[in-house]
Amino acid sequence: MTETDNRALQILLDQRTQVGTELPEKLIIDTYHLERTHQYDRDSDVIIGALRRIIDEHLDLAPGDDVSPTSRTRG
Amino acid sequence: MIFRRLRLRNFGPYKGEHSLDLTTQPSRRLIIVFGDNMRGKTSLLNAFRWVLYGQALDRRSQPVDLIRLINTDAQHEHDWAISVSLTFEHEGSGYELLRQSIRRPIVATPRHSGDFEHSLQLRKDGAVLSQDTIEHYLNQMIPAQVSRFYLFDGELLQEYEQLLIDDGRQGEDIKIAIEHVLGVPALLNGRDHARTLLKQAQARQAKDLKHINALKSYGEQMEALQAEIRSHEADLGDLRGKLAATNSDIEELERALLETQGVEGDKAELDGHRATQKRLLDEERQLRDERVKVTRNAWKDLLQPRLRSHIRDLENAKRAHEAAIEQRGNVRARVDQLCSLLNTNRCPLCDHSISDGDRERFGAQRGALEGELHASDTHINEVGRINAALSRYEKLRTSGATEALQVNQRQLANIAVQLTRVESDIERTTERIAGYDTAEIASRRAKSKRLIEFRGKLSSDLASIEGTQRHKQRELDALSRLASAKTGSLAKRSTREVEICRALDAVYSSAIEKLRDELRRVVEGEATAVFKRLTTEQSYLGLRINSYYGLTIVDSQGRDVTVRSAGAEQVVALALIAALNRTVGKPAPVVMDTPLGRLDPKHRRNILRFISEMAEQVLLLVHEGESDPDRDLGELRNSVSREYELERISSAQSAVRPRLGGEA
Repeated sequence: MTETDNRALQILLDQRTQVGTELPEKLIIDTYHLERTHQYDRDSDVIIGALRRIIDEHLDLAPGDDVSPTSRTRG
Repeated sequence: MIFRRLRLRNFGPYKGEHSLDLTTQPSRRLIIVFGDNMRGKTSLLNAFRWVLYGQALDRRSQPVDLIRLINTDAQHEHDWAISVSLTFEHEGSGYELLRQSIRRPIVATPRHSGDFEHSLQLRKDGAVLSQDTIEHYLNQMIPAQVSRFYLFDGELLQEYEQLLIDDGRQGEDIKIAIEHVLGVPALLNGRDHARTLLKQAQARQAKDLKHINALKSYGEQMEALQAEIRSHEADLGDLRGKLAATNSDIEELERALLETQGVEGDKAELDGHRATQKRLLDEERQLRDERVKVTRNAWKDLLQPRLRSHIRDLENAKRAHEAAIEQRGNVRARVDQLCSLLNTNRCPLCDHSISDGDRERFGAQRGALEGELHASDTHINEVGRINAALSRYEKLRTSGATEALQVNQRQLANIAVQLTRVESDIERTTERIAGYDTAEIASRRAKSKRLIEFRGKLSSDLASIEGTQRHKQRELDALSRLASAKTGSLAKRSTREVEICRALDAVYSSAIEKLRDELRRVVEGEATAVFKRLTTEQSYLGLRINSYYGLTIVDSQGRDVTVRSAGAEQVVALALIAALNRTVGKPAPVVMDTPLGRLDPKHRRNILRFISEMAEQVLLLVHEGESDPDRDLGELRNSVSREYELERISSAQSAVRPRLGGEA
């Protein structure tokens, strides 16, 4: 991580308060690392797939909460 | 990233195999290549561009066709293989990148890139990496989008002036490149990816809601909106595709038109000459017609000498008759006196009676005088006759044909000279455009105009649909939020996913402008620090950055310096590039072609002193006119690892010779 990368990440973390969200710090860090590593790559589908997996890891559902037929099992 | 060696084969003026050792020591970061004009400095810069990104650029930053890259002498010898290999180190590993293009076996004489087999190979620590990972590796080390800040042509540094124009299209392109090097795409992509995932999550949420009786209508409304949004997205994709294709067509046409700009100018000049020629021919025809008309009356002028003599005689006769007519009054008075005398028969003076003899004498006198009076009527008739004759002759005297013919002749001669001149102009201009299809060029110009109008219409349609799309998306978001608030424990997962994606979108969107502001502040500070080292005008306060990363010089009073010389532009551009390199903190070698050309000796010295600090490794391609080895480089000796010289072999061939630092 360069100084600029650290600056960008810090701004992202700070924006959680600005926009009033309680997104976990790890989620922001993980998504930023993913985007930073692939920022010059053209294959968006692969990156979106990886981002989706990061978000899935952070979805915190208690078993039985979800009655929807599209629900997925964590992990 | 540190370069170690560059190998060329048939690249530009470098026929056959050539190699440059590029190893440098940490304390001696500079490599200098001296070469006169046409010896291949820009070809060396292009060799780096080509091996890394598969594209060489000309002086207008346009791609150079592969055929033009291959050495001309090699082409004549039917050696159609071109290759460049670059050995470098990055984060402790050794790499070798090899790009080559070889004529296809079935092609006798290649005409375009499709007539070659192309290959690219990247080895890491000796192991060949798979093809699909090469781009990713290079993007991690020195992405193509930021290459203009590492591999640059000093003559093109003035393009950064475009950044000062807030709505310039070229400036927008450079701004995007600057933000690429600064890492803004990570946030831009993050926002776009979060939005894509948000749409997917909302689709799942709508599907889930449809299975919950109390929220079924929300799900149906959301699905209806999503269907509309998808339809708009398809339209937008179609329009964007058309817009991109149109832009590409316009750029291609403009590029072709730029190459034939001179021909278009010559064609316009030729049309102008032809119009002049037509006008002159019309004028000549009119003058010839006038001459025919004038010549019809010219016989009158032939009579003039005799006519003048005859008129003179008539005028003399007229004067004699008029003198005689003048005498008539006196005669009439004498006749009246004699009549009175004869009637009264007495002398009016002494009143004596008149003798018969005198009376007879006076009667005779009266008869004679009355005869004279009668004769004077003839004078009057003669004057009338002469006047009538003079009037007739006057018409003959006023033809003016000779003068008119002389003027006509002069005008015709003048037109003949002009016609000769314009015919010569036509011949010269025609020669200049010979071989060019001017009708085709005119057709291209017309097509370009039509496409530009079409682009305007596409942009307008695009803006309209984007507006509708934003509106629909806001409706969907509002509905999704409303449904989320009501789901409770139902459809919790999809709703939570929507919330996370929405929050991610908000965080990334909000961070983009913050990061931009922060980066502009840092770049402005770094650029000012570098600028103050480079400029010879110490009273300047520094540089001020605008939203496009354009830099304006600020004088000692805090005012913008609006007019700056080409040299000052170059100094500001170098300050920007150095500031970007410092801000990025991602070490990559810098290769500069002719970076000192516009600078005076003091600025040149300042830049040469600074240049080795620009990057971990700096390769300077200079001609001795811009940088004299003895005069300018004396104090740099301790920073230079290697010096090379480009030697002329023939007009189509150069070779790289080492001056300092070992074999080439």
